Amino acid sequence: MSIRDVYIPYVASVFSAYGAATSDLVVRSDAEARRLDLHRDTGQIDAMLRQLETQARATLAESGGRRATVELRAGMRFMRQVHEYVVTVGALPFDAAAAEAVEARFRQEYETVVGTGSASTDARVELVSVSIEARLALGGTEPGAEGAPTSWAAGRPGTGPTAGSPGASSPPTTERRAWFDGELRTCPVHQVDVLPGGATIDGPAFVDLPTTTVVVYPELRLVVEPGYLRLTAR
Amino acid sequence: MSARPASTARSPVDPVSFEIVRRRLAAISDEAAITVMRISGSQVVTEAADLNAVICNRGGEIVVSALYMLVHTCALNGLIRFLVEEYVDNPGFGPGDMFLTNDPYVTGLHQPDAVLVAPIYRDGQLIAWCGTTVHESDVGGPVPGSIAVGSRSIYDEPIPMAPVRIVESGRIRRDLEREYLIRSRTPELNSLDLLGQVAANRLQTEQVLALCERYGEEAVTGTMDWLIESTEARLRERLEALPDGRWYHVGYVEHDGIEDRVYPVRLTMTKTGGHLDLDYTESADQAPGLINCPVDLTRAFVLATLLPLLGFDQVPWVPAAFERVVTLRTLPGTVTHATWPAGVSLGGTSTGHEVRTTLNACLARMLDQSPDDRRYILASSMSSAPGQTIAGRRHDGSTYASMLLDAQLGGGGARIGANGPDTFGLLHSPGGACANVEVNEANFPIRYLWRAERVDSGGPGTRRGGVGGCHALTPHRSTGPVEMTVWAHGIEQPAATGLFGGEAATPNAFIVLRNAAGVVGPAMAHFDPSLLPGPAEVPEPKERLTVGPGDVVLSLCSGGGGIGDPLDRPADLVMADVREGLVSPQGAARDYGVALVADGDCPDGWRVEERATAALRRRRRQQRRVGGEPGPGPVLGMAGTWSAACPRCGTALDGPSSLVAERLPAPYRWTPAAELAGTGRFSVERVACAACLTQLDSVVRLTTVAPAG
Repeated sequence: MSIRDVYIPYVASVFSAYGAATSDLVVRSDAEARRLDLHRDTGQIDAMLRQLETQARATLAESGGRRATVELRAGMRFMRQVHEYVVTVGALPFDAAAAEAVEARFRQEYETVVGTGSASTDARVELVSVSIEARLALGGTEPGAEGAPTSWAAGRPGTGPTAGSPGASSPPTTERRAWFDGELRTCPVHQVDVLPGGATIDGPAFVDLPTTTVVVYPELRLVVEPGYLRLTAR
Repeated sequence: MSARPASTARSPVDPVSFEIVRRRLAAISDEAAITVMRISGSQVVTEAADLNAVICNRGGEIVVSALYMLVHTCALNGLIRFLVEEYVDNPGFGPGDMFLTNDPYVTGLHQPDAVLVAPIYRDGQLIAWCGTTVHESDVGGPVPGSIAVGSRSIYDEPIPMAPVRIVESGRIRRDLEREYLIRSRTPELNSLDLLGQVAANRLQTEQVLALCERYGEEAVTGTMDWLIESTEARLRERLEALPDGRWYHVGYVEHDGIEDRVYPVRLTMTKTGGHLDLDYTESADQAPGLINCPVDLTRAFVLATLLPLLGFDQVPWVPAAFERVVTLRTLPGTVTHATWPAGVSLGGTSTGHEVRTTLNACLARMLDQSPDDRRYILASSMSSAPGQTIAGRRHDGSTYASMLLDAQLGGGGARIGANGPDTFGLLHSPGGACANVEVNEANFPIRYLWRAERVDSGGPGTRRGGVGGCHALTPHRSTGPVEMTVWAHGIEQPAATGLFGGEAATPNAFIVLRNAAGVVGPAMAHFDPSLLPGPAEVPEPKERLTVGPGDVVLSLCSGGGGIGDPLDRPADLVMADVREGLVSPQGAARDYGVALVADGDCPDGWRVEERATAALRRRRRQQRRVGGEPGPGPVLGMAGTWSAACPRCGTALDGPSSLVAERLPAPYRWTPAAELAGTGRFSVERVACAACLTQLDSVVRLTTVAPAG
């Protein structure tokens, strides 16, 4: 298949390798607001949105990322409906005019989903929740791109080793017997969290990740690179 | 699964396209129903699924129905027929139009059920119809919740809205919408329901047209027509394989909301070749009160009974096909064929349920003639339902009115090879449910003390009927009392009939305990009625109540009927039922002749006392002789002719002298019913073979239809 290198992100068993390695860092959080009236309780709604934004920015700040963009949202529905429809809230402050604009947006978008004339003029609109999506663009995180994180677990805030010397190796933590090419062999097993950046491991070997295990076949070499593992032919 | 084509006719559609299109049509109607549920804000719809959706062919015949409240859609072709006959020129109908009505004399339902139908056009030609139904929280009238207990005609009930073209060329007419909503105490909820129905009909229209684009219009319309024809052929084959015969059953509706008179619903079913003749003409004259069925409602219940009980072994549930093999006979002016202006707002959950139960019993007798089909027999599930509407003000002063649908927790009838399902629901509403307790508590100022399975409510039998549900609730954070309307029949007598010696289920029931919220605990869900605290009020079968702070209302659903002699049920299975909390130790002795003794070494604290059980069962069998011959009236489902043999000993059952009967007062398994004077008019006759004393039938007898006292 002419594949030269295979990139394995930290959450390899959950997401696609490419997506996990290159996606933005996103923080979402929400809060229930069913006891609040969209028009009467604008002050409380404003305070909830501000608190969500503060928390989200703080979370991203710990990752040392660039300035995040945020989108404030309101989950709304007509009275007692089971499902909510989420619309965007404009910039703060959330005041009476903002509440009017949000309800108008809800009614307009609701009709695009449910059909023309389907936004009842007789039923109350209820606020169900408020939420935020804060997005930190990790531009340049494509494998090998300039500006990529310098450690294996940089995409996972607060964990992982710092970069080591390129080419350095790390002793295995244990061994495992496995069949390769018709031969039962004793193979080293490495724990990813203690592998320094730049380390290389020649197969046959195993590297344990939190959610999966990478098998390094005898003909392959594993290189610990910033933000991911790279398998390449020896 | 394949809709097997008729033996002689040929499908106009290739088999692959036929299968794809018919399944797609079913998916479309299901998606339409789900659409309504997602747009509605009423727990009647979102939780209890009291709605349905349907697709009809160009002639208005019902081809596909979603499987929620099946009875809603089985007779919807009556409305389409009305539109074609009455409105084709004025106001006319065309693409994008929809017609709304809640007129029971047109829809075959009751006033709370709003029906919206739409013609489907392609290139200017009518190719099909679609429709949706929704039970509204309230459509006005003198009684909140719109079940007009006390009405003397339809003029005392919610005044129905005649069919109106509420959507014209895709545009909702706000004037007619206003006219519709102004009647209701819950216009906000009704508005959402209506818009949900509009969206659902739009969806069905778009999807049927998309199907035409994909497979061709002829494939779609041809599939509809062939589905009806091929299903009809399969049904006729099924019927032709069964012996011809005639069967009889009578059910009783007590109380019409005004007085406690009894209204028998009598069915004589005759099977000839591939045809069923259902004769309800001997049923009672229509009542002054609200229990009457317009003939289309009777038709709806007939079809919603035939679909699950004859549509086994992968026969598609196509209402139009089932209708073709049936002749329905009713007499205008009777409870099964009400004439304007008879009250009808409770027609379904009264007479309609007895239409279902009588047909259920007759079909079982018919299927019993076939060794292959016996396994599909089902005893009657809960008949009627202890329904409640509530209305009043919440603590913030806002008003509410709605039906609670806990009554959809009745037990299912037993089968030949299995117990009935517990808290099964309604036979004619496969997709129905009841709202979560928390949802009802969030929406209304009430608090549930419990909701539980009701011990001893299943009909005793070799195969036990499923148990029903029960609950107790009290006002909570209510401004003023809760206005409650309760209704049911099968309260003074057991209506969920058993089969082949299996007994009817314990009756439906209501109990009111004043100022008792502090002393009624969950443990009483499994109660001996004699342990209830304080004086208990037993409401009439239809009654309006005022429920104040601290008052507790108990509502108890009937179970399903049993099958076979209860004394033949293995004692270890009865013990298992006791272990599950479905039968009490007292019920084990009373209903099954199984003696349990307390034994601390057993994990459940009880064990079967074998010798005492054998002695008790021997004594019970001997008691069956004491009543002599059965009283006048049909037994064993036979009408007039005697042509049966005891399945146990083979003795010919050729007349009353071949049977013995044991008579019991109607409330023998539910003593609080004795509080109602009307209960004394009923008795239960256990009928057994005179030779071997095997119980073969259990029949409700009535002495007079007149109000007691």
